[in-house]
Amino acid sequence: MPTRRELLRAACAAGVGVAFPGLLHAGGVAPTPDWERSLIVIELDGGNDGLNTIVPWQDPVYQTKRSSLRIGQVTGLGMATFRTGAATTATGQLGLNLALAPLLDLWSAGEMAVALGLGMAAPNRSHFRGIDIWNTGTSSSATATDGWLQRAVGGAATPGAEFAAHAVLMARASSNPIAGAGVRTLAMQSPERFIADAARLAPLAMPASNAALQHVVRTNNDVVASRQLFEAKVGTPPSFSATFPTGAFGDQCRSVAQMIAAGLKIPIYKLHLSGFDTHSDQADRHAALLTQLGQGIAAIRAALDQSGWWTRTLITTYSEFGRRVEQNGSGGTDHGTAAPHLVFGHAGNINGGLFGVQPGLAYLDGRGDLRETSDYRRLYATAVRFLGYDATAALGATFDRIGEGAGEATPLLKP
Amino acid sequence: MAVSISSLVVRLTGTVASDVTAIEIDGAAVTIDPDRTWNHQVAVPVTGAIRHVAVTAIAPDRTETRLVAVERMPTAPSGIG
Amino acid sequence: MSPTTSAASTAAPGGAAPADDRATPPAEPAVIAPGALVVAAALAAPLALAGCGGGGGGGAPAAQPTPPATTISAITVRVTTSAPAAIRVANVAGDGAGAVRFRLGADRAADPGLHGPEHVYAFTIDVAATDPAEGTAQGWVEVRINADPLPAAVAHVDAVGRIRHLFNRACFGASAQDLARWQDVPYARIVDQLVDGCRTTAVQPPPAWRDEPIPTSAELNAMTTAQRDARDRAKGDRIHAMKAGWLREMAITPSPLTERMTLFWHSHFVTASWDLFEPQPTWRYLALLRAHALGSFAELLHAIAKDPAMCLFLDSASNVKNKPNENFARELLELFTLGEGQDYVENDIVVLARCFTGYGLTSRKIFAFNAAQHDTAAKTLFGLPVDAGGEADGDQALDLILAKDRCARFIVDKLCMEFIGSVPGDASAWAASFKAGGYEIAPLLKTILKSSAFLNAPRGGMHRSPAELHVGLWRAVELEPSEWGGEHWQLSEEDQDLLDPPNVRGWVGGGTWMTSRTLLRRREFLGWKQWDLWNRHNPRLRRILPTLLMAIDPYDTARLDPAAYPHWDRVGGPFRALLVDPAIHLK
Repeated sequence: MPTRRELLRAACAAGVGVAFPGLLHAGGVAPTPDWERSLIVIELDGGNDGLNTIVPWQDPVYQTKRSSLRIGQVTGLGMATFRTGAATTATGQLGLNLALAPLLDLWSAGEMAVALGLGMAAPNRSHFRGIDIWNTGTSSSATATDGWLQRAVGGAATPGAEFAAHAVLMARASSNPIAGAGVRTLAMQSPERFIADAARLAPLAMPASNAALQHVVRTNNDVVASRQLFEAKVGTPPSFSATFPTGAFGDQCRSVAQMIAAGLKIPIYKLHLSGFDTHSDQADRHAALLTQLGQGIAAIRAALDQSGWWTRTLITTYSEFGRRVEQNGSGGTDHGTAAPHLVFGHAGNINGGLFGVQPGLAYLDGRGDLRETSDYRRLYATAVRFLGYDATAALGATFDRIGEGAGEATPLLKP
Repeated sequence: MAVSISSLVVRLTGTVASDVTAIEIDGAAVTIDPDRTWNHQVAVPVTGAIRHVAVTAIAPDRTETRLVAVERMPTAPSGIG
Repeated sequence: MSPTTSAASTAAPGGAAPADDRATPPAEPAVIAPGALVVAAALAAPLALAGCGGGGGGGAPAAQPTPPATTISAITVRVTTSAPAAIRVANVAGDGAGAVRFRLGADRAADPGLHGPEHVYAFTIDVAATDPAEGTAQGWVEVRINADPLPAAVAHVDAVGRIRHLFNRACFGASAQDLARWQDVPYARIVDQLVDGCRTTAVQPPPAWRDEPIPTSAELNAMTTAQRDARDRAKGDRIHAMKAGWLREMAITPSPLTERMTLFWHSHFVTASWDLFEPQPTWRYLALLRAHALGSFAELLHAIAKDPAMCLFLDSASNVKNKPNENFARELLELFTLGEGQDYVENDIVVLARCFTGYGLTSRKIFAFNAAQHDTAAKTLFGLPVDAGGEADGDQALDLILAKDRCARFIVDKLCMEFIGSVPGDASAWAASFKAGGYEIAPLLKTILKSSAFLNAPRGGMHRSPAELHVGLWRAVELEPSEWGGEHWQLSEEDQDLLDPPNVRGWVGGGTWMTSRTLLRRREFLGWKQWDLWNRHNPRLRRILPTLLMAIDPYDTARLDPAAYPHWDRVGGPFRALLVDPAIHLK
């Protein structure tokens, strides 16, 4: 497939305007809030085992500690830097668990990036507190009630009558990374269900007094307004030739692709895949989950590419923690710490590849868990910038985007 | 700078009948003085909202509630120059 | 004493309302919009008082009239001005301190400023500033005194409004039984009896598995995978049963205030049942909160610090000498007692964590103090020594926290926000009494609920939580316990998963209950419920539901208009519309 630059050159040579959507876009970093763009965050609920996702399959420590759980079926992704001590590194191979084989096409096209060793200082290994930290974007010793995405996009000017929502959460009751005031968030099983459910509401006049009543009426009218846009744009959803995996996650993926392709211009979508808390019988359960994940992401990419919206979309995974290095006595792994996460985007927006430093398996913390090599908020800073918002305001401090730290040569987000 | 009225407070004084044992104003008990009188202060809302005060006198055989409404009028009452 | 002129000269019949009125309770009160005070109606439509001496209607009483229980004899108007001034109120000069006093009755004829119907007193206020450059100002105040004591029906409405407010804010909503029971009781006494009547145990019996020992790690490892899976499934079932059971307790308890306070403390001393995934400690934790819900906050705090669920949850189980866990210490100060950054420094957290070293759990998850893990080195907290030694270090540290005024204030402010929706100026006085009285919650609650700030809080100014909406509806319509089940799922979708708050800060509440997500879920539930309730064909229910549920008038008046419905639905339609009106979400 020709690169963006080649197409541009060809177009200029031909002296005609080219009608590729997003072709003249500025690259990964958006300078200002771009309501054409969407961020899809995928919560891997339960704590995804990073070591069996991006696999140091040649490492003898890995082979020993994961005596029965080690992954043998991998595709090499290349050489990475491993942290082996406080001041020492080594290089080694990392491979992709072949349950994620559908993602290899994206890898080859330079549309898949892996951010290694994401975690935090003094990590918390509790689901409750762990996902709370990831949702609120704080350090492990602070608490907040608003989500990192609320701080990123809340309060910014919305596109007037075209404004459908700040975020859509694709599961009815899962955790909320955009909690807080000043954002319109919809939760739904599908756009069709939302359109049907919201039909119960009718617009109401705003009361002259009583702030609480005004809040209820405003919320009501917001939903009515959103529903009108949904019905107009995605009432007849676009169809795609891509094949989505069967099951709830695949349905979520299809719904999100439909909403983006329908031009709803909603900046944030959250997908939710649960079951990653593999304390036992991890081998089959993890493989099944990764299969769904890989097929779902590949299908989203194909559908958005077909409809011309892939150039305006970024996908990232996240999870409350990784898992322990050594497997336990039940054929599974227990709560751990740092883990890699996967980022996907159009080749004109991101540089594919391995980013950061892989935690070495011999340089573990006092509990025998991986030591983080990058603060997880660097991933957030990257995502926020893709949408065109100010990451420092969202996170309360400045974090280098992935690939843009000291000594790092290639940014994840193309400028 | 012109002088203005910054606040208004109305104090009601009342007298109770011989059989009354307790007075409650808006549900809160108010002391009955030895001379069988009580008094209660009502802040007059400057916004012109009417402030209702329910005065409930409790006797063994009866309970009576009177309503007092206090209002800062936006315009002069008719009849007053 | 000079009675007001009302009894002698108004058109209404003799002022006294004999107790007979209550003996023959008025027929179903005319539909009066909730919260309205029908003064005009009282005066315009004289009641025919059954049993009042003399025949016919509205005639002069035959026997000597009973003197009114109370009369208003004087009105004082105190004026504050922006600059020193001479004040005249209706031609009567002030006393120089800005107060003018009228004695009613005898003086009335002498006051040219008074006018209008006899029970209306209008005062003009003339202000002449001492400094001529400041000019003059004028103001007017009108005081209208109900000439007759309120007829029972109207007093009833006022009382009903107060009961509804009290039960909406402090319980889950009123039922018809609550109204019938309390409508003739003076408000202050209702509060006293509600608070004094609180329970320390649940109505429902504890589950059979409450004392089942928790397997040790060794015992767990010895189980087969199938056994462990079965155990996990059983644990999940038990946790769901606890959530459903608590919701049911809220609906059937004779003391809903107990459950409101238990829920309040759950949102304060947060643990999360799915995170702990051990039903027995979670059950004990809930029972602990309920036992102390209206007792002593000091005792509750001491007990919570050693509660196994709390220990597990905040990781104090791993609070060991060389690696004290600051998690518990930080949240103890930030979330449980003082508030973030209030009256403590970072080092206090470090010292506090050391005080609690050795706090841990046995392998069966029962609290145990491990002296070997306790940090015995000297500790200074808030500049004071902690030297009780051993397990008592933690208790002494808690007492040092409780000795801070800020701690009482923190709790008082939270309770004010819970019931009033704001923090009134009286809160600092209440906090001082709270602390002086040993942190007893019951007297504090009585004070708050009888306060002018609570009584005058704007009706419909706060948002109903999902529990209050659901339980309020059940209590109002007196559903049989067998008629509902599983609604804790619904509450969870409305962002209130009982026993699992969203994070350690508990539920923020207020406007966060009402979002585009939760509104749709509530609307879906209410839409389904509206047909369910209509089908109960209870005419009394239809009339009384707005009185019980609505803190303010229903808002979507278009849908309440019978004309908006086909002829066969002109009664049912407006009734069902009430249940989905925006006003139902407010209290």
